[in-house]
Amino acid sequence: MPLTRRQLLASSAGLAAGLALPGLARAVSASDRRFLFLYVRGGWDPPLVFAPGFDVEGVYTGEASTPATYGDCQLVAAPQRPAADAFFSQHIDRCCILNGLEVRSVTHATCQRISHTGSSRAQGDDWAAILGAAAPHLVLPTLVVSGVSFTDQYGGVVTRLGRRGQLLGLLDGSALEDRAQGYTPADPAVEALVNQAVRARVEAAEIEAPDAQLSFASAHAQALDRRDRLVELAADPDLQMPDDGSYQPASTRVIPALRCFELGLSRCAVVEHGGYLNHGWDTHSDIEEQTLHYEELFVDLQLIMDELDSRPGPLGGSLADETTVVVFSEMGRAPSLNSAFGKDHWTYTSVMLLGSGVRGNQVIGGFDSGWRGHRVDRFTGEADEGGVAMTAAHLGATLMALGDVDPEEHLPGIEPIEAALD
Amino acid sequence: MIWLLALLACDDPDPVEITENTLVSLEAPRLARRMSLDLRGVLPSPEELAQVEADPGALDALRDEWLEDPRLEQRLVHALGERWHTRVDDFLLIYREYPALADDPTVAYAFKRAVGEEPLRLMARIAVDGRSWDEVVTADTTMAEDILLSIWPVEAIEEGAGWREARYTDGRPAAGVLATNGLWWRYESTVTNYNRARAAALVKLLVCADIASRPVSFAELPALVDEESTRRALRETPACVNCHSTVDPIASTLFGFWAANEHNSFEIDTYHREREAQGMDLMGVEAHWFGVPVRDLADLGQAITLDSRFPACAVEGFVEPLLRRPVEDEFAEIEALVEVFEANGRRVKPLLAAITDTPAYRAGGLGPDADAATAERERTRRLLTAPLLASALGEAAGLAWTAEGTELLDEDTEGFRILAGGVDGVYVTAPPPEPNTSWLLVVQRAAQLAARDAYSAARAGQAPPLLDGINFADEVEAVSAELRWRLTALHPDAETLAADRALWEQVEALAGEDEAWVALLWALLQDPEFTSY
Repeated sequence: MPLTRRQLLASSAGLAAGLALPGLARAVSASDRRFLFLYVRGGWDPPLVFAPGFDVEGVYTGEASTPATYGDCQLVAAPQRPAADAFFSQHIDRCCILNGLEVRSVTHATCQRISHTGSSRAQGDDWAAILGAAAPHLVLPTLVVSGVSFTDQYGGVVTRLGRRGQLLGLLDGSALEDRAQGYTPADPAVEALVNQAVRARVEAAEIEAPDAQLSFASAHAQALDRRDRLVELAADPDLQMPDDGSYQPASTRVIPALRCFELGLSRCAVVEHGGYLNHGWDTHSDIEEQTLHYEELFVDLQLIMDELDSRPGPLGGSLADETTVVVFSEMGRAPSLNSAFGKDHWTYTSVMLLGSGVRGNQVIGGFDSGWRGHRVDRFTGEADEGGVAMTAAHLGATLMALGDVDPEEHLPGIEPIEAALD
Repeated sequence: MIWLLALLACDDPDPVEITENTLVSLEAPRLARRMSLDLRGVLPSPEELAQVEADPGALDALRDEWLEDPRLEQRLVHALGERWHTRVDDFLLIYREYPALADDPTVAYAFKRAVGEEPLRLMARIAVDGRSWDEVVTADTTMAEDILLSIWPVEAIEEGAGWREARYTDGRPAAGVLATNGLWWRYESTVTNYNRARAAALVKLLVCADIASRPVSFAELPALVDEESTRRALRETPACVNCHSTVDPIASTLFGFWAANEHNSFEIDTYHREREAQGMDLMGVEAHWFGVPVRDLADLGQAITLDSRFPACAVEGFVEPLLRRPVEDEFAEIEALVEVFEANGRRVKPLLAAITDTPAYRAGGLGPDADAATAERERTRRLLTAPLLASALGEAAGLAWTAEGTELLDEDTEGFRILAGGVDGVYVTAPPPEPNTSWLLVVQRAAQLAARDAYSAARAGQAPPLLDGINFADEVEAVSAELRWRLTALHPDAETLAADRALWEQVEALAGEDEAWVALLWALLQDPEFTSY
């Protein structure tokens, strides 16, 4: 008789132990590494922070911006962006900035897909799904707190939290309390019996499923397993999302994700950063709004790093020891201002990696006199005319190398930017 | 039909011959269930199931009846919404911008659905009225309901309540969905974008050419460090001309919708005839649709109807939601359906009938001749996601799940739409093919509510269709067998019924008979055979 999904999961429980047992201090291997994706929605403007453009004709670098050195990195600072200055002053040794990544589109929807999956194809899994799929034994391999999520074959490993954390309310049934038509809570003992009965049917369906439908049936069974393990944790206060409808910054919205990391539930989490008051970074007018967005971003990043540093990781150290933070936007912005004192879309952007497995205190790549990305030697990170023109696919390959996933399986012919790896 | 497809397939260089040994059809009752859900959003009635079980040949006639069911229109709104992506939760303006609505926060959901559904309702009405699909881009009417009639320059020309035919009063041209506020609220354009994003969107939606996904590389371009050099590049540099030579002439016809301030209600509610000519001037182009000169938006619609890709794209637009998968390199199959579409005056109902006749639609499994590509492509089992979940439970069990005026299975700010596998058009653009944790949780809770609602109503003498005629004094196995048949179009075996009885008895011992029936219903509404189709 074929094994049910549940039986397979039970037999792999030992594999999960390494990700679930606290107090077992050991070096973080790539397969244990976690990933926090902070997706900056709308297109950030690298010359204001990541990529000095003072010597490039036509590049607007922001009001009162000046070159700034943090460690070995030449970045940009301004009095209106104290949070960025404070962040880099403290964390530059953890930061690897990739400048000049090309995202070959100028539309948001296509750029989102390319920056998340490496391709504009309609089908494809994003980096968070691919990395999460490498840890299918986890309860929530990839948790999408907010933002886009592209899934194809790995849809089963991705769980959305809901804009106001609705998933948690479904776990304990509290989501039904506001129902206009009224609600009678279920007796827990009755609910348990119903769940048992449903499980029996789902497992039977998995055993009886023909080959063509086995994946479907197994996904159903696996979803049940994950639900049952999640229910036990629903009462955890750190997993609750504030739901009063008020604006919540990314540093607050990320807390449930960090708690899932702490509990060994998730490998990847995705949080969207909408900028100042969630206005979005798509500043076609008034480029100085980017300063407000960057300030919000770096305030949030500081808080996030503080949380990562202070929370224990399942492997014995801190969460920061085992988490790579990926900060990226789907596109950059044109070097010069338009007639509305804003900046339009640009196919070259920047990415910031920090944390576990990342060789910090460096900037890889840059922009040329036309504000296009340099080619780089992927091993040294130095500019090299014969080197690699970095694309979103290279970001993906680099993340896969950090996460012990073979990039060749998902991005044939694309190799990681080794210079970014510790 | 299978013979025809096989014949057409033989013309392909690498034909995948579709025969009875490639895809195995669902049994008639189960197929009826699939068709009823797809065309009406509801389960077949016990009488309909009995009819097709006794005579599988009766299914086609039933299907034809269902194509005349008024619920088809609502189904089409949702099916089209999964492709047109206008049923979003966020627009640039919210209901509070309008004095007529501002004081009622419970109108928030209804407002955004009204805006987003306008173009979908027009398309659905054209389909159910048996009009040519050409009217999607040529009609001089739109659809509106009370909210839109109270805030936009539009008046009803059809009597009655709810969505009805209407016409704009601001002199906008006759161009079907191209002249709707709802479409352009969804596909915005900043002042400096000059409607280019809108042009790319309508090319993708109407002729399935995804210009926006073409690679754009500035690597080989001259410096684009100022607006003048950018403008020149759009006209002279091949890498830019590649897309802009198509997009800009189309965008120039949309300047009646060009808003000086896209956050101002007058600017985006009203058509600006005085700006129509500005497009060609500002963009330095002559308006045309892929080389066919057009004078204005109305002309654009006419040109689209003459584009040979338009009917094929329309066909794909109906094939994908019915097959629950993207259309891949199925040129022969699509061509055959286009022939049906054209032969019937580009009317949608005959097309829907033809799609439901295809082996791919009817497939419930793979045959011995199925190759790996077929196995990977075909969805022989489909997931019941929002909104089908909502409509099926709503009709069968009388489920209503709202809070403060919001349908919670149809919305994402407060609700559970994308958690339940729905498409919001922004963050999620396609339904999941398989169950996942969040979907399962929504199903669990929706089933919980539906079970209690249905049983309580039945006990009060107002049984919903699922429980109509059910006698709770009968043996548990008998009741369960009938309920399973109604819910899944499958007759359960003795082992399944024994398990149902065991559940009933366990709950009855704990909490009494009423709770036992509710618990049984709750379990049945989460059964894998109910939650898939």
